[in-house]
Formats: sequence, C-alpha cells, structure tokens
Amino acid sequence: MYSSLVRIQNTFGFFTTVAFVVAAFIAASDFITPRAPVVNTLKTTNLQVVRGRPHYYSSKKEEYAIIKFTLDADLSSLFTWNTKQLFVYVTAEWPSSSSSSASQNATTNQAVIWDTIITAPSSDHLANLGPASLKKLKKSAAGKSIDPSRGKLSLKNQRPKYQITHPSGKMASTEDVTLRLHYNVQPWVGILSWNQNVDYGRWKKLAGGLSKKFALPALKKQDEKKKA
Amino acid sequence: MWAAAKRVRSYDSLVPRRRCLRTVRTSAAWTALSKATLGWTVHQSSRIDREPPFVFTGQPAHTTMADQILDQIRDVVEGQIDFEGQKLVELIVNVALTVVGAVAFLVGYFLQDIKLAVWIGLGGTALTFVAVVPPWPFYNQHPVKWLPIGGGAQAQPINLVIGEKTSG
Amino acid sequence: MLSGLGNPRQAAAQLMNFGLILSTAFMMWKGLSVITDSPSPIVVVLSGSMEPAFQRGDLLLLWNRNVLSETSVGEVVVYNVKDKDIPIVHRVVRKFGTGPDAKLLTKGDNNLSDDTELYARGQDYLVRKDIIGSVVGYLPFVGYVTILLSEHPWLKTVMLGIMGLVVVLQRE
Repeated sequence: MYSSLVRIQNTFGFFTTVAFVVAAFIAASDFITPRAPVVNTLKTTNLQVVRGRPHYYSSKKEEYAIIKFTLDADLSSLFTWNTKQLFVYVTAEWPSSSSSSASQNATTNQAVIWDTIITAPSSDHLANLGPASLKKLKKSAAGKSIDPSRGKLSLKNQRPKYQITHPSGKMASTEDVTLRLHYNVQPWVGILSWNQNVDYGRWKKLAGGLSKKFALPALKKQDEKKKA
Repeated sequence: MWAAAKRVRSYDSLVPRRRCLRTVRTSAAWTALSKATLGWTVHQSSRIDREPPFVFTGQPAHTTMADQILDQIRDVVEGQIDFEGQKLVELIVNVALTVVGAVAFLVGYFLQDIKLAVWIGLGGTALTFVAVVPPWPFYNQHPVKWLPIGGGAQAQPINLVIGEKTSG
Repeated sequence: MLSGLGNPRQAAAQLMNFGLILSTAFMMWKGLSVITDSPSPIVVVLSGSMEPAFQRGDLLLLWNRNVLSETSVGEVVVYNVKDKDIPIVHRVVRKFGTGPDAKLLTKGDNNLSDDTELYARGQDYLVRKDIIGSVVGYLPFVGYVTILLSEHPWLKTVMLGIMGLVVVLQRE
C-alpha cells in the first residue's frame, strides 16, 4: 500500500470483490420476491391453414397455419428491480400425427406463434424501437424505477407473428393442438427463469396459461385460386 | 527482510537493501498479476508492503539533469506514504467499500431501483479512490525516524546488537 | 521479473507461484466444463441479436445437461452451425419431435426472421448435439474488455505503453 500504484491495485481488487458480492445479493433478492403470474384467458379466435410460401426465403410450398388468439394475463408480479426484460411467448403444441393415439399426452411438436419483449423502465433505453415509440415508452415510465403495470397483457383477436409449419409440410386437419403461454424473466444479474408447473418457494406456478384443445381446419381452397 | 533493514549502517550497505526492496516490488507485481488472473479470489497480504520506503536523499549517484527530472517524476508517480498512513489506507478502503456496497444494495432494494444502486456503488468507489490513491499529507504524518548516517555515538550500538541477535 | 535472477531460489518460487495461478485457473475452467457438460461453460456475447436481453460483452453461464427435461422451446441456447466454429446464442422457437433427433429452429429475439439462413447449406434445423449449452446465468458487462481488446487493437498498444511507463517510473 505504500505507492499509488499498489493502492490503485488493492482498491480495485477489493472493489471487484464488493461488486461481486453485491451482485450475488441482488441475484438472491429475486428468490424472496413473490411471483404469482395469472393467465385469465387464452383462446383461439380464428384458425386457418394455407398452402404457400410462409417466408420470402422459403424454397418450397408448404402448408402453414395462422392461429389468431385472445389473451388476457397478469404477469405484473414478475417485475422487480432486477428484472431487465420479460419475454412472453405463446406456443402451439401438438402430438405427432403417427403417435397421437399411442401417447395422448406427449407433446412432440412445439412452435412459437407470437412473442413480445416487455422491457423494464431500467432497460427502456435498450429497446429495439423507433425514436418516436421509444420516447413514448420512456415517457410512460417517467419517474418510475419499475413498472409492473406493463405485465398486464390484454390482446383481442391477435394475429400471430409467426406462421407455423411442420417439417413434413402438412399442417391441415392437425388435431389436439393447444396454445400455451410462457414467459422468460431476464434479470440484470443472476439466473434466468421461466414459467413453472410447480411452486418453488415464493414463486407460484403459472395459473392457467393453457388453451382448450382444438383442431386445425382443412386446407383453405381460396388461396390456391389466388396463386393460380 | 526486516532484520536486514535494521542492520543498515552506512551508505555502502544500502546496496543489499535496494535489492531486497526490489524483490518486494516484484512480488507485489506478481500478486497484482495473480489478482488479474484469478479475479477477486486472491488477496494480497499487505504485510509485504510495510517495508520501509527507500527514503535515502543524498544524491551522489545522480549525475545528469535527466536523471534528476526522472527521479522527481518518479517521486510524484510513486506517491509514497508512511507506515501509519498505509495502515489507515487499508482500513479506509475496507470500511468505505463495504459500506458503499451495503448502502447501494439496501437503497436499491428498498426503492426497487437498480440504476440508483449502480450509481451509488460507482460513485462511492470513485470517492474512495480519490481519498486513498493520492499521497495526501494526511498519510505522511508519521515519517520513519532514521538513524544518522555514519553513527550517532549513542543510538547505533543498541540497534546493532538487536539486529545481530535476531539474525544470528 | 529480471530482479529474481540475483536470487535463484526466489526466481524459482515466483515461477512456481505463477505456474500455480495459471494451472488453478485452467483447472477451474475445465472443472466447470465437466460439471456443466459444455465445452465452453462461460461465453461472452458478441452480437446484438438477442438485445435487449443480452448486450455485447455480457457473460453467460451455460448448462448442457438435460436432467429434468429436454431442451425445449423458449430456452436460449448457444449452438454451433455445422462445420463452422462460430458459436451463436439464440432462442429456440420451434421443436419437432423428441429425443436427440428432435428438429430445433432458433431465432434471435432482436431479429425479424428465424435462423434458417444462418444454418449451413442443406441444414434446415438444428439437432441437440449442435447445441453446446442453454443459458442459465447472466452477468452483465464483465466480458466487455475482451471485445474492446479484440476490436480495437490500438488499445493493446496503449496498454503496453502504460505498462512500459510504469516500469520506467518505478524505482529499481
């Protein structure tokens, strides 16, 4: 400690120690914050199966499904000071066609049909938005360090962001499809967490979040006419 | 090394002391390197640094102006402080950074504001650096009293005897 | 470093000390690798395709064992494209089938389209063995130094210069 250089080294060394300990405490504080996410409604409103090119880069024509849905969920308890963003996504799940009779409950196919990133006020500046909507977003949380109200989701007849396909190219008349809501909490520091099916301490399992089983309709003739 | 330092008698015998100091310096460099490699797990024992700083001021060895200027710059950069100052610095660093960390966490948790916690942590650390790194006069209030060169008749033999005893 | 030459015993001790530090670091890395079953259990994020979740320079802790359940949709995984050694960290958005042959499709949260175009020619989906780990832990910013040094080589020169200055200005 007798020269400036040694003092810089030692002070910096102890600073890193303190920083890591504080980071560990911040990460641990997640576990004592209760979580009780609830999904009130998750249901399909419109189903369509179309044959065509789902993406501009698709090399071949295939069947793809467009699932519109309505969602009402309250995930506000997931927002704490250590929440950087909440990634919410809705998947469609269905058993494989060959084994559907053999293993009724086995979900062998899973595809995201819609997702959204909900930033916390502390990470608004990182959001991938245009300047106008970014300004609006920041204004919505002015003076707030966390904003749990952003966890309240209410979507009506929402169009999917992704048209779902299957490697076999067949989607029409698929049975036993369900929609499921998931979330992924991204912390500022610590472990990433997802929705749970069982309670872990103060983190309650996601209530609801699974739609009724439904079947996709047969191929829509109209679109073939359009292509021709 | 401590015993060796005590046995210093005249200007000539300063040479081994210099060598000894040099190794201290390098071992400090190693510890710094090890810290960089292993991060926060390695802590330097600060005992090593409590060697007396080399405060010899007669300058028969310095011949050129450049040498003198370099020496002055070295003095400024090195920023030596005395033993009591080193003790105090260590205490201040440990207490201040721990308190800053605790305050940052508690304020952040109770106000649920992680950005505030980060700013408190960084700000407090910056203040600690300012308080501790420069050789404030505060840290030099207990200079080491060296024996007179060539021998003050009374003091020298006592110290010498002790030195010889401990080494032999 | 040269100062130890005057005293071989001290020089040897310093060499041993340095070797010990290096080997300890290596052991910790490999030990973590064994525990997580991942060839590279800690990675630094190099691209912005997962923003705002992960920025460039963030450290990710990976886990590559399927203890409770299979790698499934929604997990953020690090994978290597066939025949290319560029690890990519993206989210699994589709999974068809189960077991080691399940077909997985990934997408960066910040990207508009999925990763089909990133994959090798003729590779439409990933399989489990392409994945070197799922992200379980996150530490922001700590890896940024490595990015700075690799992208701004002049910084290395600056660092060498500072080190040289320190050597000159330190008394021998």
